[in-house]
Amino acid sequence: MLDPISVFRVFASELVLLFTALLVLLGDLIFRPRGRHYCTGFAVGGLILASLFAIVFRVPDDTSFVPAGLTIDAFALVAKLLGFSFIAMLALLADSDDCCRSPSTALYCALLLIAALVISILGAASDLILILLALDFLGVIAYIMTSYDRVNPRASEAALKYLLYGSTLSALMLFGFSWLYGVSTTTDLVGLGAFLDRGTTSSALSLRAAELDYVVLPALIMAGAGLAMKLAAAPFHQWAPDTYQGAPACSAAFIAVVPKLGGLIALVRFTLVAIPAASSEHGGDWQALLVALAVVTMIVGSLAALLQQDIKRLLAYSGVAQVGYMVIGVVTQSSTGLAALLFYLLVYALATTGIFAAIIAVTGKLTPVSTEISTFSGLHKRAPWLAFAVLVGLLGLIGLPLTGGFIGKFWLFVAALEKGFPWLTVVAVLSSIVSIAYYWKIIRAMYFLPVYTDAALHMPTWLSVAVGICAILVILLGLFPNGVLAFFRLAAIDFRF
Amino acid sequence: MVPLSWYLLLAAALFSIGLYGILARRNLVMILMSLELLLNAVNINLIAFSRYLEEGQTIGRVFALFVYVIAAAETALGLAIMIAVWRTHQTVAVDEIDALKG
Repeated sequence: MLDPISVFRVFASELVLLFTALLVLLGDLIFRPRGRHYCTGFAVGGLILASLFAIVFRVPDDTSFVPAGLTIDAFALVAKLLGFSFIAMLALLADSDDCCRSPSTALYCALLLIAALVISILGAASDLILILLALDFLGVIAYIMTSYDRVNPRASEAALKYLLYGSTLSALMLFGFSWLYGVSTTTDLVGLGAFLDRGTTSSALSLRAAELDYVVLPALIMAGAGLAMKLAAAPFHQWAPDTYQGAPACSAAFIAVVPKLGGLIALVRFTLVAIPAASSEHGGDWQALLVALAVVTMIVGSLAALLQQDIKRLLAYSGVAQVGYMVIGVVTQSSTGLAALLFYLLVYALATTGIFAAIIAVTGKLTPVSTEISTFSGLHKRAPWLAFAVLVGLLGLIGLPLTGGFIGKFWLFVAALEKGFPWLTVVAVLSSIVSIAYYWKIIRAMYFLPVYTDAALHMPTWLSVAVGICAILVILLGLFPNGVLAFFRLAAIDFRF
Repeated sequence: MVPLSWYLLLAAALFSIGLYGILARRNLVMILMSLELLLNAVNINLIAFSRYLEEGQTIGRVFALFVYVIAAAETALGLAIMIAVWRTHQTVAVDEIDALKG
């Protein structure tokens, strides 16, 4: 029997998001001539309310009516809260001239709210069908956001590249999933885990155990390729620089943060539930694949970032390298690694959002449109606080002590060493050192080069708020990390390692 | 009765043709059609597995329905982006759309 109250308790935050999205769209019809600033307020308010509901109703009394395929646990809650906070920050960026000149801010905010809804489903999804639907839905939202400025030839080119790359690789992932379903006759991650468990491997297909390897491994590789594309992990990262550069800066910030979050939570759940290294027949192979992915990603991202002159492209390649560190957290498959992964993801998202907000402020009004690093020249003289906030973000991404980036990287490396991956740590440290070289280009431009232009900098209120919150949180997370780390450790309690 | 492996071979062949189309064609319309081939190959796989492996279960068929949903959404969006590209570039040949690089 469906009890409306308990349904509401379980899906409270999702319902709030859905209604806020509808409300924002409705408001667009009513208030259209009066301006658009209410959208951001509505979106942020809805997200805060949804987060509160998620915390208040965190443990459902009765999960019998929760549809199969959703696992409502601590990890789902943490993923939800991370997603809501990232998207609230992005909503602050949305109310700027740069991204929402064309159709409407309301539509943009509604898309952001729907993306939050998708993330909250994805956090709980423990079924291949739901994971696939949520990831592709997130992809579709990202494609729309990329092409939001439709009269801009670069934006449509970027969207085209993103769409073709993304949908091809998600079809590849689907093909892998279809084979996993074929050998195990289930799409549930727990069922898949039971099937791949050591010793009990017997397929519905008439295959011997040795032959089964030839089916399962390629299927896993195809599934992994699709997930790696969502993360923009090398060698599936080629779309990222072009998409970041062509997309409006706010959408680029979205692409830098939200699909990575979605891909990582799907990857974490898939790895820890279906193929944990400790108990699964193919767990070791999957772990080796992830190690290779992390190493290649860190090396390719760092080296390619060295060559960039455009700040958005530089952030794209550095984002590739950053994802390499985060994949280490999945490789280790320990509660330390998982907590460090989530912590680092939080710092990365805050720092990246802050820097993109600065990009909007600095390059939003430039004609002709340019996002070269040189546009940041002398920013220290034009807007000292903005330059300082960007500096904090960059130092956080480098992982300097006193910023959250240091704590995140430290615990990631500790987790890797604990589990016996010294070489992975060496590559990660080297990659962090190289990252100083390319982030230095921006710092040098801001503090040591002559002023690019004397035009006054226009900072909308919401944008200043976003920049401030990001910079302050990056520092606070570095100074007082323990509470947040302990909270993220809770996310791991429902997994067995 | 046709053995299961025939369906799987058909799906693999379709998937390969689709991949070839995506990599080799220059016209955007053909690329989007090749994308459809990929997803149809997946569907053949899913439905064949569900028909041959399970008695009375429908997971595979439901999965295939959701794949249709995704295929429809991506194609609709692909066509919309194609129109945007046509308006801004006056071409749908993918090798002429190359302003972003470096």
